[in-house]
Amino acid sequence: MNKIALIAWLTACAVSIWFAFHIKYKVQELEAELGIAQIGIESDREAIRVLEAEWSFLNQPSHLADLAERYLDFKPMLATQVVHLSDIPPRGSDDADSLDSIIEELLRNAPDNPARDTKKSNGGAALMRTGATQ
Amino acid sequence: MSFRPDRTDRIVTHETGLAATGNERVRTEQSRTEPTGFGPDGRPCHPCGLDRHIDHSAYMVLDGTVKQALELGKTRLIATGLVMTVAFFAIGIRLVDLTLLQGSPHHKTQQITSNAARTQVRADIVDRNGVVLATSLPSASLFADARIVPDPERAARELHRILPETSQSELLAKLKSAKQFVWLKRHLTPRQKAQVNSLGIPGLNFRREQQRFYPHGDLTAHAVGFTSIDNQGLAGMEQSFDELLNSTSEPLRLSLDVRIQHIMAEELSATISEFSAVGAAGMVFDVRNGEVVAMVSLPSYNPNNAGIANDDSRFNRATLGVYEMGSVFKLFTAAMALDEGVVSVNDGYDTTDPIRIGRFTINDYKPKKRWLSIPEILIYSSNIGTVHMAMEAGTPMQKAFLSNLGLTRPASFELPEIGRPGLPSNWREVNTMTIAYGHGISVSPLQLVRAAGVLVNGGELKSATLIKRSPGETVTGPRIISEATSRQMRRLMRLVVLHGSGRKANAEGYMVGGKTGTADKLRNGRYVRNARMSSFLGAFPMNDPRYIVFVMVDEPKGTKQTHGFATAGWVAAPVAKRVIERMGPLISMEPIEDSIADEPIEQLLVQVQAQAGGHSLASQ
Repeated sequence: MNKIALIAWLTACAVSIWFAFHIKYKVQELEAELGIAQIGIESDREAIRVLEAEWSFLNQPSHLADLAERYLDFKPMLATQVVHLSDIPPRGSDDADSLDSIIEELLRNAPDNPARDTKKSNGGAALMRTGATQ
Repeated sequence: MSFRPDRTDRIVTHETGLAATGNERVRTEQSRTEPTGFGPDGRPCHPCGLDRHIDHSAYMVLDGTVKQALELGKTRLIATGLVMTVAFFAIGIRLVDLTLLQGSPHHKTQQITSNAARTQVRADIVDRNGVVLATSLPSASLFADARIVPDPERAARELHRILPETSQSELLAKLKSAKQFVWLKRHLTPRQKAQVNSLGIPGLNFRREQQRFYPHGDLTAHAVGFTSIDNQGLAGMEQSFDELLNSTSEPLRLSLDVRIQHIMAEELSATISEFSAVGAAGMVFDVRNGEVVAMVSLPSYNPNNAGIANDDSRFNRATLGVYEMGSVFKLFTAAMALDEGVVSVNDGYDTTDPIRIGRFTINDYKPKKRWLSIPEILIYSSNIGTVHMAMEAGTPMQKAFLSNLGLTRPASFELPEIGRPGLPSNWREVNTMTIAYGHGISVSPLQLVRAAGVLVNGGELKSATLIKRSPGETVTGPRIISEATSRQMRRLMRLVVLHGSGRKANAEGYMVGGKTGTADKLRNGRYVRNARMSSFLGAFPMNDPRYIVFVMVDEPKGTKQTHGFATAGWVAAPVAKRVIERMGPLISMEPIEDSIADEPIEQLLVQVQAQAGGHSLASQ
């Protein structure tokens, strides 16, 4: 009886020792992993900061204006190009003439089309994307 | 003490037998008594009889005694065992508690603080939409341990080749200094760093540092400011929020909108080159909550290389510069007279004769030589009419009114560069006259837009800020003029743009109102005819004003297109128009049908002019 108890105790002892060391090594391993992950996070954060700075740099309004001028056929919108929703006649009403006149007025108010060099500028594609026709 | 080995004593012996000391005591006492053969009281005792006696009685008692003793021992064992178990359990629970529950957070906090210390970077500065205006980038700085650099001459030569902006002799002096730590070059580019590394010279080392970077360069230079090489704020918001930027990681959100800032800067610099001006300033100010949405001062400088910027470009004309604003001030004179009930909007003054005071003569730029109503005085920018208005109000009232508008003391603003207004040392009658039309008092554009906000926003003076207010935050300020006066001022400003000198500022659809100002510049205490400040103070939309746009051009020269004119109506007003037209869609402002909205305002002028007919007849 005593022997069995002794063996049981010794086994328990050995198991717990093994377990303790197992945990210890596991923890060390995890800590090393954590350290690597933290270094990784840190360098990623730095990279994000650099990229954000670059993004902001590339988004300088003067740079965007330059790009828009080169590749788009858009002009700054004028207030006269905006029509209130209430000014548009309801669908199917007899007042179709007034809609035509509104559109006509809008076209008249639109700024002059800039000189277009379709080879150089990508204006056509841009207009297609917006669903507008010329 | 008497010793008598009797039954009771024996029992005591057995009882105490469990305790080692008790046993010992009994035994020594016995060994002391036995050789003498006498009791302590001197009587001889008989050992055999005694033994027998004891044995005899012991057998009778022992059974009960031993049992009792064993019971007792058992109880004590159990008690001790229990105590031990409880103690071990307590230790066990504490162990679990420390290792699994409590221990880890303690460990973690320690790590976080050490991490934070390592990665603490100066916080970003962003615009109102989150566009980065200032950020900290990692960089490497080169230093040397001069004691262990083997060949300073060669090292200096090689380093100079990689870092051409450093002087070779300086490098050599540093490398020969035998100091343990000496900076060779701060903030190297990654390429330079790689090249220095590939030299393989012992004693050269890098230290990781943070370098401040301004992606938008000169666009927001005066607002954001710049830092020293050690990331210490030296100007602008970098200086005023130096501690905050160093202690938090949250970006500092300015009220500036980088797009509107760009529009203003672009239009102003176009105007500067068109009219060969020496500089310009522009502001867009939210009259509802006091936010400065754009603040431009030209010429500007690149904050990424602030060291080489000259004083003129570093000078912030929008907040630090104070200027005589000229006719723009007539708005304040009119607002004062209307609010204090000195005049009503239907009143007017005869402007036929110039005003003479002492050696001064006050005349009109374009004399009408007739009776002018209050709206007409503003439309035609009549100095004479404005002076009459101010004189009727009086010096104390003018002083108090301008002081209420915050024009007589430096503006409270986040920037460290704040100009002190130039006031007359002795505010006499002649000062009242000239101040009425904006001469003899110099204020900063910042003070001006804040005060002008009062005229159009319903009459409250709201403190100006460069920090974005939280959405929905209502800002209140002291009431300076009544809402009725503010309404009248809006109409008057609109009339100036519809019929007066501000016609070129009329951005269709945005119902712009405003006032032009052209002031001769003071040089050595004298006004110079050909050096002017042309300015335009506008607000839009006039039916419910949202923004003040202020444009000021320093020393414009007339061109052929403007028929040689360099007055505000030709120079500053068109800038305001273009700025408003371009920023309107950006701020999603719904265009207004001006012709309809202007009707009641035009009505006012017609009504006033009808009365003027009688006056002009009377004055003739």
